[in-house]
Amino acid sequence: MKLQNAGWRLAVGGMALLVAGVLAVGLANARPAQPAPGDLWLHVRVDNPDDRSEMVRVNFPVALAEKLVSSIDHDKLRHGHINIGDNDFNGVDLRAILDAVSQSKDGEFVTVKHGDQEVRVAKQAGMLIVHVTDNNRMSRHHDGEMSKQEVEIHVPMAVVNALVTSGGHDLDVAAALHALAAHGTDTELVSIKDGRETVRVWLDSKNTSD
Amino acid sequence: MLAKIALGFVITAGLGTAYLLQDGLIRVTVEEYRKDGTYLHLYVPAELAPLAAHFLPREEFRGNMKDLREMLPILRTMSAELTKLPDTVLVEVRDGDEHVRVAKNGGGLEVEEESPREHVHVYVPLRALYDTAEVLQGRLEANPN
Repeated sequence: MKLQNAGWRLAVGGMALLVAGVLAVGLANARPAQPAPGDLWLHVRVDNPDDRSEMVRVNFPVALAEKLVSSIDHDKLRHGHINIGDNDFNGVDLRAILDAVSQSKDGEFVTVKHGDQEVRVAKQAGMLIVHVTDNNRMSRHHDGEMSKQEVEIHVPMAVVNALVTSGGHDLDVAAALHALAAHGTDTELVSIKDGRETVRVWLDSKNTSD
Repeated sequence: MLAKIALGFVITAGLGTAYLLQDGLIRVTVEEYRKDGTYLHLYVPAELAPLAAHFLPREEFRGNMKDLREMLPILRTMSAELTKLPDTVLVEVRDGDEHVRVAKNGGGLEVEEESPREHVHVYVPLRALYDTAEVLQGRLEANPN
């Protein structure tokens, strides 16, 4: 009887040990990772105060985007490179323009006014800035308010330079993302206001967009 | 004697359970709200996924070789890198009655879709995703045709 008790105690002890082991493995797997200091996250946020049922949130680490882009081998995206071939974008040589912009000094390069549209392209403090205003895209809101569409794009020049480094007919998207990850500061990249609907794309070190 | 057999059984069962649960569970929930709609709650030990990938007949993915060759390295990279991240919502889209959410949650990737027609929830431990992609990629490389 004594031996039987000892055996059962051993069995129960063994079982407890195994349960503890399983729990330990589970807890080790569940331990949350911490963001490395300085890691930048790309955020996209689309909001429409007039329509609360429409909303987009994207939070993605730039370093992960770079690794994913580098591992894609599909269509024109080959391991981080997009082949633009002889595509001249309706007579516009995109590579030549990006090359020229990256080598030029600060200043406003392009100002185009066409009807209600205005496009301005400038280089300032290491950033390429594109500003588009379209007064012809008036949208009527629920409260009758009218407003125009405004697009503002800020791209660090290091990203533009990285995009065109590979030469030939390639745009190096992986290198551009690498440059973006190394940018190191909070940056508003894209801001679109279309009526009361807003689209924001920005970089910061937080993993949430709230 | 009986106690020794019980102990052996408990240890074997415990080790088996520990092995099967070390990577957590793959959880799939599908609830269709229509009459006679699908109602599925599936819990599978994640460790079984790469094991199943070992024995999956080649005929099952013969027609999708090109897609798999492109997808598997992405899947491996994504699952390996997501493991290093803190828990976070990666994508959330609300459009009318439909709501889709993709999040990294407790060592796994969680996809949830809610609409007036259905509720779908899938949770896959990242370790299992990585191991399964690795097994499939290994099989494709060993026998490319």
